[in-house]
Amino acid sequence: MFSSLLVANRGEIAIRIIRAARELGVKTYAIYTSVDKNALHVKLADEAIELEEFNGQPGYLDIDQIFAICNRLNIESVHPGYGFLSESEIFAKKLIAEGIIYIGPPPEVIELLGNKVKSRELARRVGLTVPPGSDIIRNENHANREARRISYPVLVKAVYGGGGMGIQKAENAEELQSAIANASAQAEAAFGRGEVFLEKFLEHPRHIEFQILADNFGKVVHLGERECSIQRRNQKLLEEAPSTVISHDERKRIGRLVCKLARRVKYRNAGTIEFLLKDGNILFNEVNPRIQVEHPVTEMLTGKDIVKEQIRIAKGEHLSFKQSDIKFRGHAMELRINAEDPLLDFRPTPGRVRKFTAPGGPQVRFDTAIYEGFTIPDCYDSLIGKLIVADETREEAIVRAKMALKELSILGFATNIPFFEELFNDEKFKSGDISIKFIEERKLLEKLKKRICLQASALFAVGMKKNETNLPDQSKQWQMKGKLEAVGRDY
Amino acid sequence: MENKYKITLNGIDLDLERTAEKIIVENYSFTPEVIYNGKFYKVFVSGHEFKIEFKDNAIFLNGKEIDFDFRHSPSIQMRKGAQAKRQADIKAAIPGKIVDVKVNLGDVVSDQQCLLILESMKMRNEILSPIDGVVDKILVNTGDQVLARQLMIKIKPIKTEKE
Repeated sequence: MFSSLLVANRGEIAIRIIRAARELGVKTYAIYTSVDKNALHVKLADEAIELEEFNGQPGYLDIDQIFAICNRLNIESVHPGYGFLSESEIFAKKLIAEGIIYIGPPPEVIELLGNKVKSRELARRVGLTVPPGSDIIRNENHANREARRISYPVLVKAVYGGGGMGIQKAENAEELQSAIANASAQAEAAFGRGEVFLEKFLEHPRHIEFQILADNFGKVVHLGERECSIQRRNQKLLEEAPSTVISHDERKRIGRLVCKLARRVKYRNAGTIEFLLKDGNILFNEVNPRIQVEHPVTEMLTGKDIVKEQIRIAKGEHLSFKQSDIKFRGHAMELRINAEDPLLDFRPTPGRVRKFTAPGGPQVRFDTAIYEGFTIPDCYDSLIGKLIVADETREEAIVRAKMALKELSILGFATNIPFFEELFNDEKFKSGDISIKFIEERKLLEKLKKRICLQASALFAVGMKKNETNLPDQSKQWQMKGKLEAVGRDY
Repeated sequence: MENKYKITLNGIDLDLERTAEKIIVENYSFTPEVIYNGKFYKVFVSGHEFKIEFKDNAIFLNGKEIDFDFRHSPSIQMRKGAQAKRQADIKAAIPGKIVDVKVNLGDVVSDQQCLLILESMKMRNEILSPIDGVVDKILVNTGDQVLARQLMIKIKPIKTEKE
């Protein structure tokens, strides 16, 4: 096994990787920025190195500095986690050139799949269905011609994009040019390359993805799908497996094709192939060449430790199981707990954790990097924990998640916990009939608001009653500090 | 006696108004009934039942600790129409970084016009003007880190003909 592993990330995923590495007997190194000096991943790692920050740019993106640390400390392997440098072939190349093992796919594969037009073509060639789409847009005429062929509405997508960034919708020819200009500008800003292509827009699809693992000897297995349709602002909120709409045969068929795609591009390590599902058609979207936030759903369902497997594969070990060893047991789901206000369009609410109680019990897992007294920095994303549960059936898994939410308490700022309570009350969610527009379609946020108002009225009524029956200055008891500071609103 | 309150429930802000018969929260009306059994409170409202307890200086709703706070609103409510006369101080509701200031000193701005963009937790938030007015002061620059409640911009109302 490796003697050392540096985690080029922060938050819960850094901790997840540290745990896996420790179990394999690998010494772990964390890196951190000044705002993260009290972060849990810093405390848990065997050693932690502070990054210098330049101009407020997050140090976790600083390739040169991280590379220098690896060299100085003689680090043997680096795990990028998700986000930050996880899809940077430049970072991977630089490490590999110096003899440091990058725990992820080879940089050539990251580069190849990072081109969405090329990856569409590769997917089509192995027999996957791709949505109608264009080549890279060359000029205005080309765009108009292709959009007419595909038929409106179309999406303008960044060729080197991903994660829902740099995407614009055009309903007609009038909207097309400005959509292209906007998407291109966004892509240029976010990814440094402004090329775009067109793809047919699908109304209210489901989002389904397949997890794969590939070792360095050409062996590839898939670990089934995850359904990630519950989203807000194109960001996933709840993921589950198995999907209620993928049959056993369909899973086998798509699973075989994604493994074929992986072998075709000489894929190594963990990866995810994303699809959109519409009217029974499973349409290829993109490949994510990294560990994903929602990987625990698959771990719960299959009993396999994906992160440990990643490390072993990178070390040059054979996959420790074959396709026929993969068994899917029961139903698993993950709830992304975010520091955000669901009634204010999921606006982020960074603040200090005043109280924190984690849920427990059989098949209840809570991956987090927070603790009581920790202040959530405002410069990183709002994910503060992942509640993952599993049970024999989907119905039972929902009940288990509901009960876990009753135990999970994070006080100090608004979180999206009440949103999930509302989601689990929804009959259509319970029936499994969901899409990426589910929250809007079911008016969940309005229902949630009403329920929170109901609770507030009950609490207020008690407060009034308490004040009437107690001494006048007992109202002081109600001045629970903390949240107003966190919300920071002045009246 | 003013009967308007500002409520905060688990970090979520709500407006509440109390009348003789009912409690109105954000346009929803409720008539909660409270029973105290000497140990805890039971509330019956709109077919729902809540158990509310006070223990160790903490509040529990159905057995789960919550943050709850209410206080009187300032008596003059900032409402449309009345707004035009008041100056607006644009403060940061959340800590973050100013990524774009969209207005200049002396600009005439309209109600709900975007003044600046505040990035927090990788999300860009448009900060809008609450009134029609003129940009009176700009206290931040692009790239600045701001704290919660930090004053960023002052908007002066436009003098109406009456005045």
